[in-house]
Amino acid sequence: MKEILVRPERCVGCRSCEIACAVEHSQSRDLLKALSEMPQRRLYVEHVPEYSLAVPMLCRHCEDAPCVAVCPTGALTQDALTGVVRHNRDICIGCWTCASVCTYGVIGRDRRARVAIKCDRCPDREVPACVSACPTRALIYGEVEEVSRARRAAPALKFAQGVAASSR
Amino acid sequence: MRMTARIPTVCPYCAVGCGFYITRNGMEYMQDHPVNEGALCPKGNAALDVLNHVDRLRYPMMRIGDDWIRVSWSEALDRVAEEMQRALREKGPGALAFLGSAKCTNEENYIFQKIARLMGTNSIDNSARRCHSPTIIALRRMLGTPAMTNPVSDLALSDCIFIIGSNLAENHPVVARWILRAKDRGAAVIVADPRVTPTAWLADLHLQLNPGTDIALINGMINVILNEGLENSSFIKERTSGFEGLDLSDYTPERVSSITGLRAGDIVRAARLYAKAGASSIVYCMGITQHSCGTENVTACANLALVCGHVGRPGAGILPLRGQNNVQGACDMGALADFYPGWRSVDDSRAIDELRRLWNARALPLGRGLTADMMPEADLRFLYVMGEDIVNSHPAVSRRRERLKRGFMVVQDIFMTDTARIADLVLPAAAWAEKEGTFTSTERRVQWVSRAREAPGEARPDLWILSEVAARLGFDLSPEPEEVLAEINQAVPAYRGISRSNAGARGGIIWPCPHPDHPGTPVLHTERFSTPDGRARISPVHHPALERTSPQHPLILITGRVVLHYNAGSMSMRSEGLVKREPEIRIDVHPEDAARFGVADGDAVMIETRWGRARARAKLTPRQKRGTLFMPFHFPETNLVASEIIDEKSMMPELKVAACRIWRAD
Amino acid sequence: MGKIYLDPERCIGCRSCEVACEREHGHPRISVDKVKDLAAVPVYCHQCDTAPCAAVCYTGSLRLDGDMVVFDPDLCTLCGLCFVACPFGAIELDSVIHRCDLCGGTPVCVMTCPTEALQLEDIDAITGSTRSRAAGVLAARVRV
Repeated sequence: MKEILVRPERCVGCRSCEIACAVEHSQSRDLLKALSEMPQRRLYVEHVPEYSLAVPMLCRHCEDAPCVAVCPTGALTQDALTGVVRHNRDICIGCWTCASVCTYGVIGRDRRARVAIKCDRCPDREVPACVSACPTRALIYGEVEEVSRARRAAPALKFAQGVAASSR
Repeated sequence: MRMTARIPTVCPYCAVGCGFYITRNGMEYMQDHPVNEGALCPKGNAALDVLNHVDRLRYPMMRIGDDWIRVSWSEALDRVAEEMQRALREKGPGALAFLGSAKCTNEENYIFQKIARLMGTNSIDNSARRCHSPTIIALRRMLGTPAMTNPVSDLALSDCIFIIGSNLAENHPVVARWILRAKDRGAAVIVADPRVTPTAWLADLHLQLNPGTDIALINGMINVILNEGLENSSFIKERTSGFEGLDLSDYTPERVSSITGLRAGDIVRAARLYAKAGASSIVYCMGITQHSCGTENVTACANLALVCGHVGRPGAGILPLRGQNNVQGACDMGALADFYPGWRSVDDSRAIDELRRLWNARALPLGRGLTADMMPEADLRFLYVMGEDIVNSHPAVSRRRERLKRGFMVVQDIFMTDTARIADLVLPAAAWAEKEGTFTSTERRVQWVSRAREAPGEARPDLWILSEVAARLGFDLSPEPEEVLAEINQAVPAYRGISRSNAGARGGIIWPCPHPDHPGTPVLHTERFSTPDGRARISPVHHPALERTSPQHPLILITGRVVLHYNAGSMSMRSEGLVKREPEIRIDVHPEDAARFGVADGDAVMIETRWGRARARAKLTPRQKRGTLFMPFHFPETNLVASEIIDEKSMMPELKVAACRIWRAD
Repeated sequence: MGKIYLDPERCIGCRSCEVACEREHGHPRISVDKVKDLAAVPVYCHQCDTAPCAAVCYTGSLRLDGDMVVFDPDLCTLCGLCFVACPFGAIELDSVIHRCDLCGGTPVCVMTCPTEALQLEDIDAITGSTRSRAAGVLAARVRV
């Protein structure tokens, strides 16, 4: 299954992902019209000054999700096929147990609806809004195995070149 | 009585020394107290139940046959003095014995031991005998000062915390607060305990070792540290002596693994974590002391800290967690058969002479007196018990309680405990919040406690009672706590600068406090140790012969505490909120052992050691180590089966291991 | 005002919260569950933002008020629907309803908890600090 993978070293802290997320989940789905709705984002760009980095923090849709485990009403469930953790606003009681156990702190509070708010992986899109919006490709959307394979290629090549050089 | 809305006090239960306020109708939390910051364990929360309890002793009573007759204070006090003097006259000072109280104030313990010594005997002891007497012996010899080297809050500064033989999450819950703060900073926590206790829940590495194999574990860790060059050579060279005598080459990880039942890799990992951390602390308690090799166990703990230089700095220390609200103080005041006030050995005639001059006495006794466990066997004519339920706190005494009353027995307490029940005369004492004086917590913190309630009936502060007894013996001893504290300033060097003023400030003052303007000494041994040459003494110790199981007694019984109760239970068992949550004794059994012996959860079982038998309910739990059982000692049944083997150096009974068997009671 | 939050890694199962709550209110509104003797979890009222106890209360005795669920005993008929509706089991009932009112603002369970497992806090503050701590850990790994 495809995951949203984060490369913090590419993040410039522009927050385009946050805006895109909020707009995607608004009624109007248009940037200018959405301003009057004040929709909420479901991902968060955290600045870490000690390392001069900005780190996008998003829901990982964990395989063994603590939020799903603690939800007392079953509002949070995990899709067996895709692994996506879904949130049903209708049966959410706003108890915030999920938010308090989330290791990444990425479950938020919809203050108007008085229920939880979290990433849904943009079910109506092919590519999640945050990924599409990211100008530096700090957020990428792909299969974990493919991304890992791509990442292995460059250092593997270097290693091979090194071995070849030393055996000459 | 002051009309203030809330009066600051210190919890009467354990030695963490938590502060809270007593109000007219209840209690309030003291959020600016440096140790507990307002928090309290369940016993602290229930502390006030003791004050108004219907069982409180209200007037002096004399036993006539099987009945208790109320008598006046003057008749009771006259009788105490008469009997004491008669015993002295007829059989000499060896016929007298005194049991001081780890729950009474410093002033009270000081006066009590003074009376005993002026009457010519060193037979005065307190419950520390069954708690940290090995700590007293070992740390005094090795470091010079028999006490915790760093304050509790320092644990938050440690990078590695090694907890061995302590279930502090149940028995000193507020200490866990500071350990969690260390964990928030990334500190590593190692817990060595045969059981999976709530303390072990906090561990990054839980060493579930076989009972009684602590020396092997620690020596194994030191072996790794020396082999990998992780010792602190400059600290060893500049601040210790005796390192050359340390040959632990036998304690390879493999050998230690077979003794302790631990994985060799875990022993290595523990050693590296402890040694490599910037500041490491060792926290230990009864799992280390309550063994026939208790003194050696403490020695091993101190060796580990010294070899790695983890003493004498913030976050790096040796932390024995004391048990009672004033056990440290009772010991500092010399309510011990082997020490006078200020840690003067009973064999040190020169040091004792200082006190002789201070007290204007002709002579003072030398040599160790009777310790608590020796009292039932001695030919006593007079026994004075202040604030301890010895019958329920010592297995040897428990089994032979009738022998305590070969002579005249006086018990001064707040309840009619099982010990009071066998006395000839019972004196009603004021509880902690009904009198004034100082208590010294486990971290050497001396705190003044103010009177917040009236004592019931005719109950009086122990200090008043003792001063009245003393007067009838011909000694002029003041009943005013501040005056007694002023004398303590002269008798106990570490308390020289302590007064109501600094002890009464928020958080009191940590000794040594050599003069009134001194801020106190939270961290000891920063420049030098308090030994004669200023160096700490490393002493090799070796893994001893163990209490062995046999075909007849194939399991090991471990005794210990639970969070909701306290020691012999005279206070906590009278607190409804605590009793309803932990109403009866149960034996923890691992499900596999239970299956072996045909025991189901909740069955009534008999347990037998070679000392005796008892009946309890079995509780099957995965947290018990296979091959071991656990019984809490707050219930009298545990005394029936606990061991009487003694650590000769400290006179500590081996309460943590006894070979046993169980079967279903029918 | 905030609500009560639990850091489950900090609970040592001492039950001080229970004893304190019982002392203050006569009947405790919090209880500690031991999970196979290997962990402990307090069960407490979450003051849910869309609380089912308030949703089922047909007399309005339990109702949402800002960040809290408030209780008016005079309107209570002891029907017990709230007791059934609470998914945590944080409401008990005998001759009256026993439910948490945050002690009017300074909950004793929070004040007394030896290990700071129980906190009184706004959820955004909690998630915010968890998130920035986690981001710090990730940043440290990236920079290595």
